[in-house]
Order: sequence, then structure tokens, then C-alpha cells
Amino acid sequence: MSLLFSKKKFSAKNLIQLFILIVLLILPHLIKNNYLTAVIITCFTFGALGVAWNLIGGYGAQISWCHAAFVATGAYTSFILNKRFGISPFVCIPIGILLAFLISTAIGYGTLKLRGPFFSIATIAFAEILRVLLLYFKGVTGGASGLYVTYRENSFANLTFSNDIPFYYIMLVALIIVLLITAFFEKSKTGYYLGAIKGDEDAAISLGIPAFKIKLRAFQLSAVIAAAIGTFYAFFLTYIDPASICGMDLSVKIGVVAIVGGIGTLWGPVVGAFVIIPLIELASNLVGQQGGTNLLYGLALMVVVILRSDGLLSIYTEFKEKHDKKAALHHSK
Amino acid sequence: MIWLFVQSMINGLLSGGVYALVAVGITIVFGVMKMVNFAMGEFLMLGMYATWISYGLFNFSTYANAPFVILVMAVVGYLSYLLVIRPVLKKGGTAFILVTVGLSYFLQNLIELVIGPNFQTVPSAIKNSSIAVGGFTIAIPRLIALAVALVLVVFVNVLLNKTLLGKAMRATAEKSEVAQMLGININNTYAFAFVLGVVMAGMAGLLITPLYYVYPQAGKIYSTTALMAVVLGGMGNIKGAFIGGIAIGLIEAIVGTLIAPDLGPAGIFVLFLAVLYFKPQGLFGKGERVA
Repeated sequence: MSLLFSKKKFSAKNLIQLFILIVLLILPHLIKNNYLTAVIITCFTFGALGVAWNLIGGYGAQISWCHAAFVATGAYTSFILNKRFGISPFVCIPIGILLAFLISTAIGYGTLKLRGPFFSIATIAFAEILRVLLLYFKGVTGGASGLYVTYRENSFANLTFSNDIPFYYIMLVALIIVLLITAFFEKSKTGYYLGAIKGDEDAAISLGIPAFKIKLRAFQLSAVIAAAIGTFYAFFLTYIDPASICGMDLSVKIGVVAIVGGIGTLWGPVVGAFVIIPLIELASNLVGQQGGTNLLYGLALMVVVILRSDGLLSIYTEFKEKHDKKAALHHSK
Repeated sequence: MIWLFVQSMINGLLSGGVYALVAVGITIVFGVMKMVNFAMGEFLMLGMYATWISYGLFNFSTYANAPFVILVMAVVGYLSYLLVIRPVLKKGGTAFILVTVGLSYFLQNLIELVIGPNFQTVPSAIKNSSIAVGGFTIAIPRLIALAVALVLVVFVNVLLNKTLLGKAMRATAEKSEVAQMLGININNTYAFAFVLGVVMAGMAGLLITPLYYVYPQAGKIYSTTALMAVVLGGMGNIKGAFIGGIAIGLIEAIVGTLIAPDLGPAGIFVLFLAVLYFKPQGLFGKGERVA
């Protein structure tokens, strides 16, 4: 009986998932509003970046404030190579990934061996330095005035489109891939090791877990994903400059999305993105000033950490657990 | 060439004083609470605005605004402690990083929203005055900043080592449970350490108003550099933080003069990473706090 019940519940869940998938697939054709589409694309992007941030920030409890630097790595490599040599961004992604891998190794190697806030400090410092370097090497990066791609034709290979709908699907697929990677990571040996390290590093090491190596691997994976997403994000924006793409603002935004949604959970950052990004859009339309929207990030970060450090998703999980427990109790009677 | 080098050393030494002051402020809080305050740059910025407001109200010359700035910063610091820091005391390291970064964002943008993003200046008679020593120029406001920083650091050292309050702070730093058993109110000790750090950042803000524009992002760079100074000197070591701050000022000035002005921060970061790789406990740290 209980088997039948769970099977029935499973198929109902499947049906809901199928419905959501169909809605997601036809949504851009239903709303027919480029601004709204762009907001949803931004939600997908920050969802994916938040999920990537979560790999080291949530599962590993090592707070990174330099994910914007990885986004910038992906963005600048593909923009420079595409503009100078006409190389397709898809070819540039592996190069950006390689660079992000090297950078994350350099930051992580010195700092992840240490406990305490060293890692966070190093990430802040690195992002600041990359921004300075991007501003300094004007000849290649365009300096403070940045780089932009001009629209010539609809071209998938060059990621230029006459409207944002193709980006909707690209970012949706990217988000799904990132979620799959993370789901796999969660259940992998490295993922469990990382959880053990987060719980008690000394105990984990005494059991033979190579804590430093595991943390470094999570950071590398996180950085690499951020760089790949950064390439698509940059072509979606069509314009990048050091202040917007390599600033602390973006790093904090990525972290806030993950933390508000639910730090260390698979779906938390996605929930966070769909709460924070529309909220910010709404605020910037109402206040119409940069200060007002960034104020919200700071406020959201403090309020969530103080009042509910597990994030918004935990409200649902708690409710569901209670509900399931009740159902199970009811069933056993 | 040599003249340029020596002159840039002097400039670095002088601007290092301000970094050192902020770094010592961070260290006091870290020593007692094991918390790194990522919002120190923003408290420095608030100190600059407090100076600006005080100047607008009373028309005092720059340094005479100190009492007002100290008062304002103490209030701001205590409120921040009550509302933001105290609720997460039990949650530990990661929560500290997150709330203080949140706080820095909040403060920076609150100022931008309330006062506006414009650049303000506090007029000062000694703004451009300097003295010449053997062909080298020493800017007076920078010299005052270094001197006041030195005095404040000595004051903090005396406070920590010679007074009952300082003993309570050191005891709390050593082992908070035991300190509590011995009748030290650790909550008050934490609050005092935090407010002291904030006031020091505010004073650093006052000291640089004759030199720089007052605007909401003015403190950003100090957050980063002071944090690196703290790590460089060895976390929790007050003497180390002071020397780390001076060292960072020197490196920034030398790289800035000899290679390119904009690359100063990059030089600091290379030094910072090198220290973390080869001597992670910092130049003066023993791995544990000393002060």
C-alpha cells in the first residue's frame, strides 16, 4: 500500500515537473516583452552563478568575494578574442575556463591551507587587483570605457541576436547544466568530504580526508563554472567594463543570491536569484538610483544572516518536513 | 633616480600611517572577538563624512572636529554592534564575514542615498602646505596623519597593557569562557573593542579629509589595504598590524613611482600573496595572537 502511495506521489511530482518545464520552454513566447525576458535571463544567470558560488561558499563554508573576477575572466577572454580575431565565443570558453582554473589555484593554494578569514581577504584583494589590471592595460581591455560587441547579424556562433529570446534558452540550458553538475558534486566523494570538512575540519583530517586538496578542488570547479557563465553573460549584456563586471558589487550580488536563497543547498541560489533580482529591478524602477538597489543587497545579507542563516529555501524545507512527518504518522495509524 | 626613490619612500611611509591606523583598529577587534571587520573602510568613510558635517555645523578647522567625530563614531559603532554583530556572536566565523560585508554595503549606499554621490571637500588651511627637508618634500597633513596614528597606537597599547579594561580585553581574547567565569562581562568587552576599532577608523577618516575628497566610496580601498596589512603583520598582533600598514604604504608608493602609478595596489597584492605562501602566520605572528 505504502509502495503504491509513494509511486503515485512520484508520478504526480513528475507531472508538476513536466508542467514547469513546458512553461519554461514557451514562456518567452508568452510574455512578448523584451524587458521581462531580460529580467528572467538575469535571474537564470545569477541562479547559475549563485549555484557555482555555493560550491565553495556554501558546501565548503569558504566565503569568496571574487567571483566577479572569474566572470570577468570569461567575459574579457571571449570579448577580446572575438573582437580581435573573430573567434567564436564557444571556442573561447575553454580558454576562459583554463585561466579561471589557474587563477583559482593561485588564490586557493596559499590561503585554503589556512583557517580563518585569510581566504576571504585574499579573494577581495585579488578581485581588486584584476580590476586595476583591466583598467591599466587599456590597449587590450579598453580600460575604463570597456568593450562592447556590435550587432551585425543573427549568429549563434558569435552569440549576437536581434532579441534576447535565444539567450533565454542558452541561459536556461546553462543553469540546468550547472545544477546537474552541482547535484552530481553533492553526491560525489569530494562533495561528502567537503561536507565533513565544513562540519569539523580537524575530525575530517584525522579520518584521512585531504582537506586542503578537497577545498581547492571545490574552489576550482566553482571558478571554472563562473568563467563559463561569464562568457554568455557578457554577450548577453553586449557591453563590459571593469567597474560593472569585475567590481565587488557583482561579487557581493552573486554571494547574496546564494545566501538569501539558502547557503549550501542545491536549489537555494536559484530561489535566491528569483527573489533578489526582481526585487532589485523593482527597487531601481521605484527609487531610480544606484544607491537604493545596492542598499538592498547589504540589508538582505544582514537580515538573512541574523534572522534565518539557512536562507529562504529552508522555510519551505521545514514546512515540507513537518508535512511529511504528519503524513507518515497518519499513514502508520 | 635616487631622489625619486627616497621621495617615494617618504610618501609611502606617510600614507602608510593611515593604513596602519585602520589595520590596528581591525586587529583590536580580531584579537578580542576573533572577528575580522570587513566594514572598516566604510567606518573610515563615515569618519570623513562626520568631519564634513562637523565642519559645516561649527566651521572648525579640520583637526578640531575630532571630539565630534569620536562621539559620532562611538554612537555608530555601538549601534552597529548592537544591531548587527551581537545577534551573530554565537554563529561564528562565516557569519561575521557575511554580516560585516553586508554592513559595509549598507553603510556605503545609505550615505549615497541620503547625502548623495557627490564629491565633498573640507576646506583646510594646511591642505597644500609642506616642509622641505634636504630637497625632499613632506606634506604636512600626511605628517600629522602619521604622527596622530602613532600616538593612537601607543595609546591603545597602554590601554591594553596598563589598564583594568585592557586586562579584561586580553583575558577575553585568551579564553572567553574563563574570562566570563572570573567575572568579566565579555559582552561589554566585545562592545568596547568593536567601538574602539570603529572610532579608530573614524579618526583615520578625519586625518585624511584634508587630502582626499569625501564621497561614499572613499573608504573602499582602505578596507582592502588594511586587511592585507593585518595579514601581513600577523593576525591579532598590534605591532605587526602597524608595521604591516607602513610596509603596504611603502610598497604602494615605490611600485607606483618606479613602475606605474596605477599599479601600486597590484604590488601590494603580490607581496600579500608571497607572505601567505611562505610565511602564512605573517611577519610578526606566532600563529596565535600576542597583543
